[in-house]
Amino acid sequence: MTRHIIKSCLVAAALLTSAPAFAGSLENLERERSIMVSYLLDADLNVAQREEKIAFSKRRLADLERIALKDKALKESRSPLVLKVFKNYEMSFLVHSAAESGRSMPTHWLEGIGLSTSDLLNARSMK
Amino acid sequence: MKQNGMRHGRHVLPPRKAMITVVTGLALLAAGPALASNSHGWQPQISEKILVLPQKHLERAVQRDFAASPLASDMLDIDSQIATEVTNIQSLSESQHLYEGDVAMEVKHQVLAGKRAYIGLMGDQISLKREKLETQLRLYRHLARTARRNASNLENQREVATAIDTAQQRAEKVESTLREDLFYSTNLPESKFGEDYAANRQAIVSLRAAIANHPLNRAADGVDAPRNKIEELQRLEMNVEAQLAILDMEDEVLGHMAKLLSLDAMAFAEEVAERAYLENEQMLDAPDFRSPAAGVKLFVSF
Repeated sequence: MTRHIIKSCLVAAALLTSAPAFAGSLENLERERSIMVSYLLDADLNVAQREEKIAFSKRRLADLERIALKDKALKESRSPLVLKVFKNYEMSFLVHSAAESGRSMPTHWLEGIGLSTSDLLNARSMK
Repeated sequence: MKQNGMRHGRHVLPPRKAMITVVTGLALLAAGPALASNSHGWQPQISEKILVLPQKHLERAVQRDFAASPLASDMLDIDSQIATEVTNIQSLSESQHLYEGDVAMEVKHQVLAGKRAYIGLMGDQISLKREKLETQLRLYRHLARTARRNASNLENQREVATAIDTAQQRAEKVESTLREDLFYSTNLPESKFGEDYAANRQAIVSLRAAIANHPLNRAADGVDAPRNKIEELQRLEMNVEAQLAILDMEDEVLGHMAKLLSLDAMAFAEEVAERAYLENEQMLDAPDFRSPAAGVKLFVSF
């Protein structure tokens, strides 16, 4: 039960912290990012399966982030949504910002939503 | 009562309509000569897209547009006429001392006529220059207004663009680290997009370096280089206004030249009159043989 609550909270946090979907490159990026987060949180996957899926997702995500960063149409946009995506670089461009911070992408994302390793260990110990 | 009725019966325009009619009439009258004078002048063909160009190219584009106008060819035409006139005056002035009598007077007359033509041409040239500068000033003011309007309208867009630029710079810094990380951590071959992206990125980096090192790109970077488009346009406006002020002074110089020339012409006229008078005097001093007494000497020998 607790596990389900944590999972729901994490998904909700992911949705809240993520930028809303925007047409084109940002929409594709957002879709792939949510797939990656779902792999990260999928309790039915074992460690090896998760790593494999995240590796595939990471490569696609890297390409989609590059596409979004080079999308000229976005520069002409006045949308506050686009502004929010780029202002929130750490959570929007996970692969690039993880490489910048020198952490793994899952760790970077979890810390981005306010969950450190010790927080997770504490949550487990409370169970 | 009848008069009153007649007054009411007359077709009298309401004051507002009358005012509009008068103003429109005056506007048409005022616009008439202006439109006529612009028919061979300079009507800039530059669009507002010029504001997208790098700052230093703006002035060059305006000069190119002017060079293609009928006004520029008129100015060149007058310039060549002035050069011819100056050569003519100089050669006449240099050879003036070689002549005497009527020929010398004729040369002097030609010099004065040449000077008068020179002043006329110079006046025309100043008018054309003024037309050019005033058009240029109007163009710069229009572009500055557009740039200000764009700046206020595109505040949000600029904020987005700045955020994207910052994100791009951050991503650019980790690009090679990320490539290595993807290669080692995923143990997967690089995607087709990834390969092409890396190749194009390398090309862009080298081209950017070439652009940064290009002499023309570095030429305008000085301490007082304008910071934005509006500032540059204001600087260009100031330059044009300074040129117009110089033109006013040139007008004054031309006025003094014309005054001097009129004095020279008056002196010349007096000289011609004096010569004519002296010639008459000589004629009067000459012996008059019309009376028999004057011819006595012909008959009497002592």
